[in-house]
Formats: sequence, structure tokens, C-alpha cells
Amino acid sequence: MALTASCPSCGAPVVFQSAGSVFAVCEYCQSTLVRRDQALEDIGKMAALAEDRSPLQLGSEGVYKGVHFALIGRIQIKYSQGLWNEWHLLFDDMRTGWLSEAAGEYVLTFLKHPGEALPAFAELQAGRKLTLGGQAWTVSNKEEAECVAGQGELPFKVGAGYPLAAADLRNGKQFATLDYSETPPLWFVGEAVEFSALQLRNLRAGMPLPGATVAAEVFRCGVCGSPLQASSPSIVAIACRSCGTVVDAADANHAILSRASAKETKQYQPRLPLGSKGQLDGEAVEVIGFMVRRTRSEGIAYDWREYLLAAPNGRYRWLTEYNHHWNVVDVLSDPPAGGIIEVDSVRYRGESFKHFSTAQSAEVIQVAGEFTWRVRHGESCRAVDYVAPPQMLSCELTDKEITWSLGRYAAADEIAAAFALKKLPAPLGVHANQPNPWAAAHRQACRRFWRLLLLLVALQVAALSIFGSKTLLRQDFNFSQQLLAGPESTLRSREFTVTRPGSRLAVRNTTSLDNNWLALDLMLVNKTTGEAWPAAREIAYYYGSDGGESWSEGNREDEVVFVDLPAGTYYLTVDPDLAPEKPVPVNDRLEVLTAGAGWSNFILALLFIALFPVFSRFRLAAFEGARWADSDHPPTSGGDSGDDD
Amino acid sequence: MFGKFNLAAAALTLALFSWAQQQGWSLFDDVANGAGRGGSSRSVYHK
Repeated sequence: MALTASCPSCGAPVVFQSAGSVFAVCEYCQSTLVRRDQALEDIGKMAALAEDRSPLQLGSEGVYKGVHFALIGRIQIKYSQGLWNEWHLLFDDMRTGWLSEAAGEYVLTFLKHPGEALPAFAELQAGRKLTLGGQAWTVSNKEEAECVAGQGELPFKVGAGYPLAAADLRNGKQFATLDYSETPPLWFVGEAVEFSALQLRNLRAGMPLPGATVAAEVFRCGVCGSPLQASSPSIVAIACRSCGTVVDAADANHAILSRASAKETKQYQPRLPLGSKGQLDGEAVEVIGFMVRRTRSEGIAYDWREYLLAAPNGRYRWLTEYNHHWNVVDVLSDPPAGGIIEVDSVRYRGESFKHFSTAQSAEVIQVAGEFTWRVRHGESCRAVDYVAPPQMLSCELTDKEITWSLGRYAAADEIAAAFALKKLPAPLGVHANQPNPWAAAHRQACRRFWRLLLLLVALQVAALSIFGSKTLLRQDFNFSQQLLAGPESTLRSREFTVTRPGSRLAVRNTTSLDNNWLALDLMLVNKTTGEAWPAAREIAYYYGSDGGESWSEGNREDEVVFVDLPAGTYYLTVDPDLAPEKPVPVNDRLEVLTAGAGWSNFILALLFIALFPVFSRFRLAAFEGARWADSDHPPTSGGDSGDDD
Repeated sequence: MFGKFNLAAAALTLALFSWAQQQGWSLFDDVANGAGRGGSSRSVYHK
């Protein structure tokens, strides 16, 4: 039930729509009014609101989760990055809430009772992990701001210069604010919302909506007079291309934020000039800002370029360039949960990112164009990078703020094609999140190896069954000194037939040697042509024990192969020679076999097909070694820190 | 390029393997070289 009272100063009606509102500003005379039962007390004039470009106004209406709400009050706050508005909402179900509007971003929160003591403001710092209301939170921003003015109905007293210390907390898409302007501090919990999703109407006439294309605001640089332009309401800083001076675009007088020397202004030329238009990931983008940042390690400066891109629907993207390696980067509205800042690995969107490097100070050394925050020369942050090629998760930390972004490695050709450039310089070295070109080849080589192995085993089984060796002759001999002394010391085997021309025959002797040796002169003779193939063999086998340890040497068996034999009938002649120092008879089983499929070819083929995955594995590891050599975790000895399958 | 080379080499390997198995060729064969006694490539240690 709305309460209507008269303004004690001008008599105009003042309406309290919410029972929770105790404070109002008369919209006619700007008197600050405090509700006391049915009467209003005038406690002085409220300061005028600073002119801003908010599309919202008192009386604007919207819908959140199916419940209609109206904007009934507003607090305008000045902070380090400009102005932000806290709009007091009254829902149809009589709940009240707050719609925070800062730099084109909207967050809707409700006052909650945490049920526990809240930490002191001084204890908070960006990146700190907290558990409040049973949930893990990370401090994403800490501000000591100041109230500019109030408007409409408010649940508490505000006024110009009223200090406002607040900390923003995030957990994925969830958002919370700790407001230290009262004691005990207030706890607001909610989420980031899209402007369009709130179905807002009765908006302020003539103000650009977030994401809408508006005519650029053009003015002149206060130092060199060069023309400057802010192409969107969310642009709050503009760096002059001529003199490097950074001016406050949101300030009516365009106050100077920082100045630059001539050297700082011209040290680097943007590879993509300001105003360049292109198509990135299927959407139109325009380069509106250019920045060079520097970090030092062991006295060496590492500089990289960053390009701010204006994308459709009021979004902004980044392109980063280091050693001609490019990344397309988006600031995350749902950063990794749990307050992770510098750990070995971070899990995000199902991907595991490994810590790559931490730059204690990434300093802005050159700026040009438009920016969505009050960028200054020399401002710095701590930068922590995690990689899961081709992605890179980066965390930038200052005392006040923590920002997460996700980058995707883009090939120079992709960027050249996106901005219709003829060619961009070839990348130098290996970048932190550059995809390993050997990863796919290695996976393919491994998959192919296993398939080939299966095929090889199948072929081997087939070869053993089809081309197995066959015995053509088996004959036993007994060699003795008496035989050698006799007239027929050369023995002749039975005949056997070779049917296939070009055959290979294996002649195997299995003897009964016992600490003895035997020499055999073999002659394979083609009975029809008389052609003969000689082979001299020496077979020895010794064994014994030495110091209680048994040993053996040589072999009782011997095999020799005759190759390229024509088809025909064959026999073997055997001329033995026995050891004179041990004149004992020796038994010998002579076997002639066709040489069939064996295992040596299988082993050779196996080794050969394994060469490819082994080679690709080495190349993969070499690339990973080069990648991690530039990290905080360089490989210690030849190995790699990268992933592998 | 690497993949194509791998595929071509694998095909050649399997073809050579099949041919060698069919021929009964073996890397470790001790092939008769026609040498007389004592000229064999094999040497034997006598105690």
C-alpha cells in the first residue's frame, strides 16, 4: 500500500511505494525527506545527480524471473572507474532489490542475512577466498567509493560525500556485495543479468541502450588538440594517438588521466591499426583500442600488444599479440570458482589448465584509442597464466580487482584473413598455448600402429599356417674314428625332391656332442644336373662347472640354409671330421626342411611400424619442451611437461 | 605429410613382410656361402 505525503518544503506530493523506504528525495525541490510515521522531515537539499548516460530512470519497469518490478530509487556513486548507479527495485510480491549498473554491466541482488559475522573491510583483498552463507566466494573487486547523490525512495539515508566501502564477490555466475557503509555490514546476493533479459520499459528518452550503436561523441585532446572520439557510452578512457595523453571520456571536462612521452607514444605501431574492421568467429569486430604491456624477468623486458575490439551487442573482445603469436581473448563473467589464484592447475569448463607463468608486474607502457576502463600509463597488475592448448586462462590481479579471461590461440593466417590483411609476420618460437602440431599426428600414428599390429598378427598367423616349413628328409648317422679311417668316409643321404624353383632349404644337424666338437663338410647335390652347393659347418658343445657355477658353451644343433635352388631331386653328401683328442662316436640326425615363415620378419615389421609413433612422440616432446622452456616450470632434463597420450 | 608417409611406409612394410614370409626369408638365416672347411663365417671356441 503506497503512502503519499506532502513535501514539507514545496508541498509537492511524495509517494512511498515500499513500506521499507524511510528516505526520499522530493523530485520537485530536491529536499531530502525522512519518513516519520505519517509525516516527513526535511533534512536539507540533496546534491544534484551527475549527468550520466544511463538508459534507466525512476519509474522504469522490468521483469526478473517472471516477477514485475519498478525502479523506485537510486543512489549514484563515484568510484575509481567513474560513476555507478544502484537502482532500488520494488517487486510486485513486495520484495525489494537492487540493480547495479556500472560500465554497461548489470547485476541484480537482494539483501540477505548471512547468519554469521562478516569479515572486516580491511581484511579483504582481490582474489581472497571466503566462505559466506555456506558458499565459497572470491573477492573480485574492492572499492572505497563515495555517494554523489540519491533519488527517489531509499531504505536508508544517503547524501553527497557519503562514504561507501564495498567489496564484490563472485562464485561462477553468482554475485554478492558486502556493503560496509553500515554497521554491521550488509550482505547482498544475486547474479549478473543481461539488460535485454530484464524486459525493461519506460526508459529514459534519448539515451543509448547497452549494445546499441550510437553516434560517436567527438571532442579534442586537451594537450595536443587532436580529435578524440568515444564510440559507445561504455568507453570511459580515450588515449590520444598523437600525444598518448589519456583523457576521461565520462568526465564532462574530459580530465587528463595520464600523459606519455613522445617515445612512449610511438615505440610500437599497432599491427592492426585503430579502426580496422574484420570478422572474428563469424561476427563483425572493430579495433578501437591499442595497448602495449611489459613484464620483466631477470632484467629482460617482454612486451606484448593488446587490441580492444568492439563486438556486436555492446560486447568487447581482445586480441593479444606476442612474438607474432595471436590470441582471441574474452573477459569471463563466470570465472573459475573457489578463489583459485596461483595453483598448479585450474579446472574450468571441464578442462584442466596447467599453471604456466606468473608475471609479478605487467605494466601498461603505451596506449592509444578507446578503453572501457580508466587506463593509465604505468598502471600494472599481477598476471597469472594457465594453459590448456589452444586455450589460455589468465588472471589479472590488482589490490582492488581480479579479472579472469579466456584466450584462444589463433593462427596468424586466421587473423590476417579476419582483417583482410595480405600477410602477418610468421610467429617466433613456441607460444604458451600454441597447439602442438604433432599432437594430432602422434594420435593418428598411435592409432595406426595398433591397427597395423593387428593386421600384422593376422598375416603372421596366416603365414605360419600356409607357409610353414615341411620336412623333406630325416636321416640318422653315426660318426666314428673307424668310419673316418675307412675308404667310404664320405656319407650320402637319401634323395629328396624340391618341387618349387627358387626354393630355400634348411639343413639341420642335431648331434649328441658331449664336451666335444664335430666338423661337417656338406654338399647339396642336384642329382639331375650335378650342380652342387657346399657348406662347411663346425658344431661344438662344452659344459661344466667353475667355482660351483655351471656353464655351457656352443650348441648341439646347427642349421644352414641353401637358397635359390632349382626344382629337382637332391641328395646331401656329408664328410665328417671328429676331434682327435676325444675319439668317441657322435650321433647326428640330419634333417632337410623347406624354409617356411618364421618370426624374424614379424619382429622386423613390428619394429618398422613402431618407428612412426616413436618419431612423432619425440617431435611432440620436443615441441612441449620448447613451450615449457619459457614458463615458470622449464623441463629439467630432456623430458617434457606437456600432455601426451 | 607425415601421415601419408606413414601410411605408404606401412603398406610397403606389410607387402614386404608378406613376400618375405611366403619366400621363407629370414634375417637370421645362416646361408651357405660355398666356403670350404674352416672358411665358414661361424667360429667355434674349442676348450
